[in-house]
Amino acid sequence: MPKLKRKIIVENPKTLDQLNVDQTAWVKYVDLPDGQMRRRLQDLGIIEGTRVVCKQAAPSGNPKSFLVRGATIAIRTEDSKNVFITTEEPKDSDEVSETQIEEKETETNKE
Amino acid sequence: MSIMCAGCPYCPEDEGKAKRKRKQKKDAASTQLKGNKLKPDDHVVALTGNPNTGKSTVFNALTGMHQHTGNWPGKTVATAEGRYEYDEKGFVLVDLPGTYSLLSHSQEEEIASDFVINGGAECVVVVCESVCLERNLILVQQVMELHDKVIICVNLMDEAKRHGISVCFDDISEKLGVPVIGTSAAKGEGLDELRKLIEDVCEGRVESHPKRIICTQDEDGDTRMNMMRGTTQKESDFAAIRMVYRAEEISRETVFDSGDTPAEKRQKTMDKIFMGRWGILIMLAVLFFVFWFTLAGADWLTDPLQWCFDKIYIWNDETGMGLHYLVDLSQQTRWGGWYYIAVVLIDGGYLVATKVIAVMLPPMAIFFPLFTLLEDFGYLPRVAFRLDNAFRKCGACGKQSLTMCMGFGCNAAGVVGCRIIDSERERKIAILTNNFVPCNGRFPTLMLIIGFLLEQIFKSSFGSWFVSSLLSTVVLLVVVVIGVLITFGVSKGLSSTMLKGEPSSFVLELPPFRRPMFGRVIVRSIWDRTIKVLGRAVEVALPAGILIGILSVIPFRDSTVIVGIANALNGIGTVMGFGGSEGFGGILGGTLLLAFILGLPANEIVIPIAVMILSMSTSGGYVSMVTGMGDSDITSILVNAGMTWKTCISLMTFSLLHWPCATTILSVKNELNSWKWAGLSALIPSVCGVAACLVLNWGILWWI
Repeated sequence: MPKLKRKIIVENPKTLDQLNVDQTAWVKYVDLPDGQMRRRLQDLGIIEGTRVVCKQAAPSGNPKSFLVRGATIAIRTEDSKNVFITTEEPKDSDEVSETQIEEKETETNKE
Repeated sequence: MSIMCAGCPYCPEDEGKAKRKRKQKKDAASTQLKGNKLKPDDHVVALTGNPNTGKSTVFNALTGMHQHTGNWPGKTVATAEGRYEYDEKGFVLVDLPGTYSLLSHSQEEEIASDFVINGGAECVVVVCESVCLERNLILVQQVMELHDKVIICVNLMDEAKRHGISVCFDDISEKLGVPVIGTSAAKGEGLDELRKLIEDVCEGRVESHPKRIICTQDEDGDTRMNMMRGTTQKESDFAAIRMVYRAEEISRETVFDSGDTPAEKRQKTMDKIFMGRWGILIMLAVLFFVFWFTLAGADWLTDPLQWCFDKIYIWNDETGMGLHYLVDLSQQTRWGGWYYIAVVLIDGGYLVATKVIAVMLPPMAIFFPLFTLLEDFGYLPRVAFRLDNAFRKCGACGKQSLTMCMGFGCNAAGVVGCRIIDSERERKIAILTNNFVPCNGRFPTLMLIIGFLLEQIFKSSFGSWFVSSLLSTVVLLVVVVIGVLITFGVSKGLSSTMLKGEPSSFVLELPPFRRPMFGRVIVRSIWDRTIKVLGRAVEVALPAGILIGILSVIPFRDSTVIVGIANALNGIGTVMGFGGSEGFGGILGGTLLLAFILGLPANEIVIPIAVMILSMSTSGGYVSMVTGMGDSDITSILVNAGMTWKTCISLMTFSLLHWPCATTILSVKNELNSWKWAGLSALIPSVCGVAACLVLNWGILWWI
């Protein structure tokens, strides 16, 4: 199966592991090729547009725990560094998702 | 292909293998789960939901059973079945393992999804947590796609109230097309309504028409499953994203959060305390207090228990009345066989069994309730969070600390609990190293030896009970910490040799702190423990005692067989440092080693067996066993046998590091399905133990 290639153009790319305690951010893009981990994050509700708040960090900074949809979830840096975030709240998450899905579909067609 | 993605749909080249594996898992699951009907018209109901939403509590509340519950995700790894009657109809309830999803390929998810599709359940109750209902709704939708009759049970409504959250059930019900009900299972609220709802849905009086977004009514289960999983990553993403957005939308319109409440502030403060800079110290302090209560409490309880058992054995020293009187009586019968039977049963079986109960029951009955309280409080996942960094550096999974905590209770349970670890490689590491945590069978052994050690070093008493118990606790804590450090070391060793690989992903939910139900937990777990210890005493200690009894009545040279065996092992035992004081000439070394070997079925019988053999051998044979045991004080028997503080240290080392009990080895075999790993799980700690004993004795203690 061909690997998905997508260009992410983000100014100052910031990833989830860089989020400090008590900071809030929104997920921009999940860059995980591994099916299982990607699925795991989706099951926990971590997808594009999801609001995350960093709750605690272990003394070494790894893992960190994040508040996602009402639940606190600990994730290692190795995984969270693949989750790109933005500190600006998306205007309407539904619209964003629709366009993103459409984008993906067009990409699929191109391939 | 790494082990990590075994069975994932994105590796087409290994599809055959993955399919086979899935099939195997399915077979295993279907043999485990039947939904056995007691009567033909029983209704089968499946209970599913995210981890740690209180499924087991709902299950217990509905069926009146006592499945173990605890405030951490992944507690229920096996499934349970229970039956209850309501309105004169029978219901078979199947408690599925908690999962975040039905779509990936971990063992629990396979079991759960397979039962939902093919298990023949008439209705599926999805237990949700009120505080993060939004996340729970993702699983709800997956179940709805797969099953036609679904009930949503929003549990922990009391917690929602404290957090200022209110939920509009009718709206959810309307949006999803399935009935919704709120409960607080731990408090027993809403359960009758749930029972009624289950009945009504099963019998079709209440409609449950899941409004699906991916599948239609017509496909069969496996097709629906594949539709949700999708054949490409984009398809599966699409399905997942749609569900997440629907959950978000529903939750936005039906769940109302009134903002910060005192309860939430309390949570934050507690998190600051337990997860802050001093977290590790607090962790050790918590462990210290648990051990201290156990040690001090057990001290109080063991003596009266032992006194009672001794009184039953010999009621009155002068007349010799009591159970032992039967032995004397049998000596006067015409057939000599009676005498041997009486000796084997009473002097062997009774004495060992009661000794095991007296020594083991008090610590277990105190430790377990305390530990259960910690569990219910929600502390264990925090420990896992704190220690994850160390485990990551060892190439292992942070959830291993959870299985280690379970190992404190019972290594066999810890080994089974390793199912919560997704990566096969990391699960193996956790299973193989679980034995380095002293289980509840070895705990009292360690405590006993520590008590003896301190007495030997400080000769007389140290003034007060208070100081001595504190000191013992410190030593015990050091032993346990050493065990944990060895776990790290061996994990590191395994992950850089036999089980090579990168640490895989780690996702762990940290549940909110919850106030444990003190009264119920304590009563319940003391009762459970007592029954379990008594059961084990009959099951393991009694046969072992009888075996020793038999071996001690068969003459061998100028003594008995058991003394002969101990003699033969004496050389090895002495080299390992069990030999006792120099020039004493006893067979302490052999006896202790033999006790460890005979303790294979259960670690808790090691010290009682050693004491039995010693009391026999110091006085020449079985006849004088009586006088030996008349003095029930284990300490004086050990002193008489020449035990020194050096012996104690070797003994503690070997108690921490030796083969696991037979039950644990069997569990490893079942979990990994291979005798090779089971053998390895026994070999690794044994080698460590022998090596540590040799190094200690010939490297350090010998010079002192």
